[in-house]
Amino acid sequence: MEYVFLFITLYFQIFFLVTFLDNSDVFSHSKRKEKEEKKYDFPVVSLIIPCWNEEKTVVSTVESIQKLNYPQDKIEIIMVDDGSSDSTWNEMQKLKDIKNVVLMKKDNGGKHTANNLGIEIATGDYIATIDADTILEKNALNIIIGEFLNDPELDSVGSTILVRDPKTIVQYAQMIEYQMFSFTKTLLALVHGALVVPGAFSVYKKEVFEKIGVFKDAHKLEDLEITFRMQRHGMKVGQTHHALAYTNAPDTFIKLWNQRRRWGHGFLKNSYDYKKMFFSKANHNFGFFTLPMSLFSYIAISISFVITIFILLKNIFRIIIEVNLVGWKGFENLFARLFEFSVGPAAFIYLVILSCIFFLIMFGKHIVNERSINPLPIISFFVLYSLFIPVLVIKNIYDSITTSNIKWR
Amino acid sequence: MTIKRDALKYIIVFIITSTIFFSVFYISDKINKSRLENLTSLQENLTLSILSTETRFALLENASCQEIFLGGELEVGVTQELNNLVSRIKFLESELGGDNKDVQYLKERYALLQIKDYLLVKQLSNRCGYNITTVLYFSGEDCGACKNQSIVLDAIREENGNVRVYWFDGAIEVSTVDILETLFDINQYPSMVVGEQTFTEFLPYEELKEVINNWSDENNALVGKTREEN
Repeated sequence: MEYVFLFITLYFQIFFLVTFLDNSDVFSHSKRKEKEEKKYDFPVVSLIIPCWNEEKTVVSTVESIQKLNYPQDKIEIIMVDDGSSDSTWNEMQKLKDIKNVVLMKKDNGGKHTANNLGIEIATGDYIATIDADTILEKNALNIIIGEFLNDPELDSVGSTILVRDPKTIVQYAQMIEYQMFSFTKTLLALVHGALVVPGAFSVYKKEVFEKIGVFKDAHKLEDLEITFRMQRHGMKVGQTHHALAYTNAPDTFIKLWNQRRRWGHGFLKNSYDYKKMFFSKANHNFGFFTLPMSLFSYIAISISFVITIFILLKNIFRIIIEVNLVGWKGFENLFARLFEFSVGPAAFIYLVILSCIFFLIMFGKHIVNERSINPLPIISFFVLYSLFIPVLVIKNIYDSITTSNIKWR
Repeated sequence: MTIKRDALKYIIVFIITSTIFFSVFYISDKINKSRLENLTSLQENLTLSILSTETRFALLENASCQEIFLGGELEVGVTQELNNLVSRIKFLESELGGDNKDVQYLKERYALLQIKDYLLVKQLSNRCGYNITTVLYFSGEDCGACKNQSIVLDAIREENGNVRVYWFDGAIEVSTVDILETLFDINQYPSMVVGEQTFTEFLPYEELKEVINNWSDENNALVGKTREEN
């Protein structure tokens, strides 16, 4: 059983590796420079910023838009206050004199309703959604629009989201995670298997919403759901690691826990809603790789955690028996005995998988031009996530089964 | 077109994954095999060193016990090799399973080597007043108390260098072990023979320690006499 899991996990890693080798030219640094400087006849883009209690960050987001290397007369900024209870609306007033800014206010109805209101009044051919706590790198928009102009088949393009100003250990760990994802997400998109067009900053063709409808509540994960829907309709979902956006990541453990509970719950529920896409021939890589892999990782993480805890308890139990039989012999070797796992072929395969993950991280750092060699973020990533994710996943699976009338098979 | 290409990729990835997967199995199998080979050579070494101890003992028969004590170094060497061997056999047993022929063979050889060592130690202590407490320990399969007894014995052996534990697996069919069992009237597990006294039940740490100390004191008196005679 253990070997089946290891085999599948290894399979996914090798799939990434092969995809990478197949498309390695995409990741060269000279490509970025080329993309940054290329001039097009840029179209009008409507940037929708849904705001809910974002008084601290909303102004800086707009400021970053004003600094974009994109003709400002081709940008329309639509800010929608989704019934904030803090001073977000007052903060937004500071921006009302900017000529391409439209301010709107509505009763609270969820992020998807704010986005949809923006889409209704948008005049651009392209619609971008931006979180109110996200700032854009100055070339982010022209690079993304460039992708559309180079490949007219694209229906949406996601940016690469990185952590803005990491300060705490929890943020450092996420920084590594986001960097790693910048690589894997691009790889997935290359094989038409993008899992999610990130809500923090992504651009859609306006006609997407005319064809398949607007955002839905989607268990509070509207960006994931619309990606699923686009994939189901055979639309082309792109992703570029050249366009960077920096978002505020949760700075404390509790905040991260809550965010990931929402994501995990939304992922499981949406996967269930779109269960027909699993292994469906119409969505080959999405159905055969992305969805099964994402779901499998979820289950595998929790199972490996349970096994680890089980072995740990067994070792503790054995040590207790020994102490009972022959008395306390001191701390010598206690640690080693606590973590005594049998070393067999499985351990080697774990090592191979771990090396693959390490490669993904290092290459992720490379493609987003992160040159820091500070080991602290990587260490905090491995320590925090190896403890945090499994507990979270188990909790999420439990919640998904129990907290609704939907029966999860 | 893309579907065909994708299918091809899935197959290629499958082949690469399988290759890595089975190479790892192959390598770890190789490593185990080479461990087994090491074990065979170790075992040969062991037979040789027992033989040489015996020879040496025979040579020293007429020498003074002082010299034999100096020669005791050799004897200690044998014990250490026995310990090495048992940990390797235990490892192989967990890796290859108790039913493995090689493991069984090694266990049988090991049992015989232990008996030889046991007899040597007894002879030495009798002749020269070499105060060592021997514990013959018989364990059986599916015996919960045996596991506990092993833990207790391990702890005692580590604490007291003058205690020598010989571990016999009741499941092993070696006639010599059967003779030992008959000799000491052993018909259930766990059983122990401390010195010359037989115990056919689990002995907790403190109790076993006391038994061993008592025997050691008794033996010391005996040994003392022998020493004086020498």
